[in-house]
Amino acid sequence: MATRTLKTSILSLGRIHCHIYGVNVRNPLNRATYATALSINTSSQNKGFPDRGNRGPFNRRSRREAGDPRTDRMPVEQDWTAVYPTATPFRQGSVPLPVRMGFPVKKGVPPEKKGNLELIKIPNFLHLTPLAIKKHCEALKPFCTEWPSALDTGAKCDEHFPVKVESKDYVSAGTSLRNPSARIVHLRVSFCVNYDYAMYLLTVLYHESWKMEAWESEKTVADMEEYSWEDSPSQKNIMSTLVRMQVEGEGEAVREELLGRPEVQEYRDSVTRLKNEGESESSMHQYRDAVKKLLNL
Amino acid sequence: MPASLSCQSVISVRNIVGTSIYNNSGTRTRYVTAACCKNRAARIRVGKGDRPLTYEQALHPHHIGHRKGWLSQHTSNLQGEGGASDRTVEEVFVRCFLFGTFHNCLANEIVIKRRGNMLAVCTLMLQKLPPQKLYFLIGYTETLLSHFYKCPVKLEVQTLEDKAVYKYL
Repeated sequence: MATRTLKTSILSLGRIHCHIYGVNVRNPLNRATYATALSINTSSQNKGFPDRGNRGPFNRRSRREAGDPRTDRMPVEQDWTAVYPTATPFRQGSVPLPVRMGFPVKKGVPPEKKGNLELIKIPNFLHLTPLAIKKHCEALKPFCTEWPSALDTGAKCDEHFPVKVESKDYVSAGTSLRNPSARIVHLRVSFCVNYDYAMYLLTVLYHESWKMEAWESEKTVADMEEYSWEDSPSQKNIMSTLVRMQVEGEGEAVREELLGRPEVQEYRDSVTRLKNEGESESSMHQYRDAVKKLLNL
Repeated sequence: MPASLSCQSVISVRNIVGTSIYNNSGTRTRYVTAACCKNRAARIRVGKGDRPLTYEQALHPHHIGHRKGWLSQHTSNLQGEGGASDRTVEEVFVRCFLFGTFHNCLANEIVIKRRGNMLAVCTLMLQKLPPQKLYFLIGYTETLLSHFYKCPVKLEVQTLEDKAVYKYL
């Protein structure tokens, strides 16, 4: 009890203490202080804690003090690839350079790197020093073979490898790894080659592409390349609207009959066209006419 | 607004009266030019001088591209690329989610970077939470967001003692 009252009085003294020293401590009440029995135990442990900064000896006894930044412990001949092995945002505690970035205040300098969001926003190439690239090349070398010395001109390459396959890879940002434009592959064949063999190969490839693999059955709606109206929210909505418009009863038979109607078929065609081909004058007109016919407007 | 309208109705009555009884030099006219309101987007107005602002808050939106960078960039805004609206909605959700999870701990806006299909969320935080709680919340955020978006989400956190003040307004 006595120790607790002593601690609170010390804490309050500590706050005033800081204020006198002119340290800009805003809202000390927001700090995570623990006013429980636990704090009494930790206070006895922290007495030997080294005093960091000029915040006074009594303040924040129950908080772990932040450590030194890594830049204080960096030798000059260190291995930089260990600090930035991959592409990572700028970390001011890991980069030992006095970088400043930003528009300066009047009669001031650009803001320092501590807490600077501008330095984090920009892409950095700290992981691509010449040494790091050399290391990458050394790691890749065992998997590479020498280019055959006989194939030194373009004409020789064309003669020995007449079939050329062009595929494009796209680097685009999104949740999916796949880019729909990357699915298009160009195959170029020059006619001086064995024509029958080339035709045979193309036929085999064509038939292979039609085979269904086991993992293809896991395809979800999001993976579909084209929009299909069956079992889509559009079909459900229009069915429920039409059922409500009809005075006769519910049931599967009514739904089947509604689906069979030509207006519903037209609506289905117009929605599929809009989604697959995108918006254009003619597709919008088609959609408008289909909706008008369906809802008897 | 209502006061001026009633004022105008009074004036109109007076106009009618004025034309018949008084001469026209004593009447007031109505201004019919279009209203041009001041821009209030994302700007904190000048005050007493005791409000600390970060660099992000102090510079107005028309400085983006000149004195400020972009908080997130993605390829969907390029010619011929799609999915811009999806990326925008994802980013808004991520910002709101982090603002709520790390309540009162964020020192500045969140920067979102995309590397392939990985979402790297870079945050600057204040040292308000004990490290164990912070680590738990980081893991929780990463797991939940990865499950939502079906892509790897990485949270890169840097901590500060206090917010970096740029100027006082």
